[in-house]
Amino acid sequence: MARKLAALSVACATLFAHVASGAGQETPFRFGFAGSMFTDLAEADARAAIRVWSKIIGDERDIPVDPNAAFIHGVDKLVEALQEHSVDAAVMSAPDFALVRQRHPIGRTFFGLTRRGWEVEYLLLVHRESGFHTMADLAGKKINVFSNPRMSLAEAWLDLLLHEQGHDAAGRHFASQTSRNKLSAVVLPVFFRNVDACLVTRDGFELMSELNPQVGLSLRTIAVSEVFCPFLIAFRDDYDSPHEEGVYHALEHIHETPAGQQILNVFQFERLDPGPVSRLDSALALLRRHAALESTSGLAHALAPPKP
Amino acid sequence: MKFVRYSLPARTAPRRIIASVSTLAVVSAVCLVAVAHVAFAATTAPARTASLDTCIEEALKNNRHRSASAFAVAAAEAQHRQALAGYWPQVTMRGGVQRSDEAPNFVVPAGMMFVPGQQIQTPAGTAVVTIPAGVLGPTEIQLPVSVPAQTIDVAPSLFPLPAQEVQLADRDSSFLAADAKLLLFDGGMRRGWREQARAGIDAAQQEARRTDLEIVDTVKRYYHGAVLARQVHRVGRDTLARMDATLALTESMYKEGSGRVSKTDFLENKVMVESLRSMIAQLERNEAMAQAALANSMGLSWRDAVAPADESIAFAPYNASLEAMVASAYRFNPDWARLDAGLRALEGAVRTARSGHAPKIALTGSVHRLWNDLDTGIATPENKKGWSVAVGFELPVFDGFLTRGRIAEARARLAQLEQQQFLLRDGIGLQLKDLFLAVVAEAQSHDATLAAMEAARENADLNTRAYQNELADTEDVVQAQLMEALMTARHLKTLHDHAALQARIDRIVGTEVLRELGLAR
Repeated sequence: MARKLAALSVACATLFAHVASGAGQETPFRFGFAGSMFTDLAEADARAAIRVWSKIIGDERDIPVDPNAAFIHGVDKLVEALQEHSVDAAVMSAPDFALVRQRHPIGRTFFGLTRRGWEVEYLLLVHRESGFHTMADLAGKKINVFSNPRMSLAEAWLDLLLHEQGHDAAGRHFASQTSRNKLSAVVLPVFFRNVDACLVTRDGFELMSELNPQVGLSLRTIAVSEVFCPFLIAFRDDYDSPHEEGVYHALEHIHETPAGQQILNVFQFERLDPGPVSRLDSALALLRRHAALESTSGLAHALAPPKP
Repeated sequence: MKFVRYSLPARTAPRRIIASVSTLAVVSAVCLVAVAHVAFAATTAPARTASLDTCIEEALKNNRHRSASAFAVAAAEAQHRQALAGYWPQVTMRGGVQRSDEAPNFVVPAGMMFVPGQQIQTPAGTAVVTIPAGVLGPTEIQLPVSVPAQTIDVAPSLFPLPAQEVQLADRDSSFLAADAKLLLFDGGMRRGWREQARAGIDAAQQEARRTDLEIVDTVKRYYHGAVLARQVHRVGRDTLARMDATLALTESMYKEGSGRVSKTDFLENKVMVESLRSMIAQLERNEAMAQAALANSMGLSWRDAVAPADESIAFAPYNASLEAMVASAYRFNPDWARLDAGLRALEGAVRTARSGHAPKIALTGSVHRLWNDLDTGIATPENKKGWSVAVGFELPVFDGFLTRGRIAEARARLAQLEQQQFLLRDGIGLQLKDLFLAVVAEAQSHDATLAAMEAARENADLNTRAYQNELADTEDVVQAQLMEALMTARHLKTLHDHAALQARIDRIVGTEVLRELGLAR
């Protein structure tokens, strides 16, 4: 067994070396991840996961892929990576994309799909017996917020909702705002009346209700967002490679093999779907409206649609 | 996108997973037994695809047992025709051309003939005498002459006779003759032979039918076995691919990660995946063997392989009552029909044996013609042509009790077979009851395993969605996926077993019963 493992390791190392060096002197495809796309995660673990993912794409599709995906913290560095071609495509949140596309043209876009599709809806929930019915009722109360890449637009939406109803921004309207990356840790305190409200995705809440119908029966929705696209995979516009179409095909069809499904599952997708940037229209409009609130940030200008 | 909680299962989890894999291996082993009735090495020839109907059709065409059965039926029919020959007159024709070295003769030896003394008396009379012309005159003259009566005495004499040779026929002869015999009365002998021969045909036909049913049963079972082997192999392959990806992640995280995944986690995961991998190798072998076995059952070479066209095994539950099925089965079961034919044959044998006491009466006749150049001797016209008709009889008077012994033997064999019929009646009923109950139980298992599979699928789906929403750990997803694979394999096995049991019922009762009961598939 030990010998087999050793042999396997050598084989894998050889394979990776071959891929990394670019089979046949070809430039391997390079993936990047915006730092906003993972939280509370040891970056090394993420690197390991991406390495396997890259290997699967490479092995299954015979496309040279750089197993060392880049993890880029900050929009400036992300733009720089795209401009210098150190990454060919990057996974980024809608807010990241809103800024990046101003500074570097974007090519193909892919969207991570779950059972419901690429959209996400946010719900503001309270306990049915709490007596809270409006945002005003929640002034000075405690709120839990689900921390997840799918929630990339949730706080902006909540701020705008409060603003439209004549309240302060969330940070001042609520007595405390706690972010948790466990959905159960966000919702159950409201169920047990330890916290007054919570902000979650509709998918998450419905799933919790399916797992425990009592939760669904005990909580009430007092606000629902429109649908948004929270993140995407964006290729740089000047990405040019003999394997370009192969890469697109590999991403679009990775869910068709059990191994690909398993890797997508790790990243919490069911499949990757090529689609137009217009899917982000509602998200970008939300961000523009939210930026307008923050007069000092200058984001409103930055978030204006790019000139044709 | 969040990689936060990609961690290996807790200490107990891999053991649970391994237990699941072991169970899956057990199911696979059962599947192996289901499809490995024929031990073949895996073939390297690419398998051609064929439907069940095609497989059965080819098997019936190629199978040598079926050809043998067909010849057995032909032989029985010929025997029946032999038995019927006794009712026809037996006509034979004889002929020939013959040349002898000498003509056949008959020699009368030389001897003496004695003539005794006697008186010869002549009466008086007048006679007219014609005197020719020129004797007494220029013209002829007729004169009356009177003769007085007189007595002449002749003394006894001894005359010597020389030897005389008489020729019987010419040395060259040709002859043609026809003989005819017609048995008028035989005391039941011919009827007995006829009954035995007719029953022989029925028995041979039932044997042929049984051969067909066996061929169809074998092909059906191997076909369904091949479908099952492919399905289980596919489930196994998919599961292994998923687990391989998980193992690769675990290995990557253990070697390069933050330390939340330990070496023991990785090794436990590896044990599970490698166990699964070895099982998949067996499943692959199963599939190849099942395809080779199917080809063999179709009468093809050991080098051939046939892949079933069907992707899945249809579930068709029985709705008939056991009583109705058993009652109908007695009419269609080939063994029952063969035994019934055997009884009729033995009744015929008893009849034939009894005819040994009865006289035999026959009508015979013949016609003949002889060609020979001589008309004397024996070659007279009367002898050269002729015919004859006769009625004869034969009456057995004493045969040393041979006939009595034959009758006793035939009756004993008949009684023996009647007792076997009782045993077969119970045997068929019991066999059908067992199969029927097994089919009912398998149908219930089908419903249960289907529900289990659907629940496992829903559980895997729910766990996946829960994982996507931070409500479940990797361990839960992996376990749910393994459980889904296990339940799927179990359900597929149940479908196969149900179909195999139905094939066995078809073999025992034939499809006529199913058609009669409206259950033909």
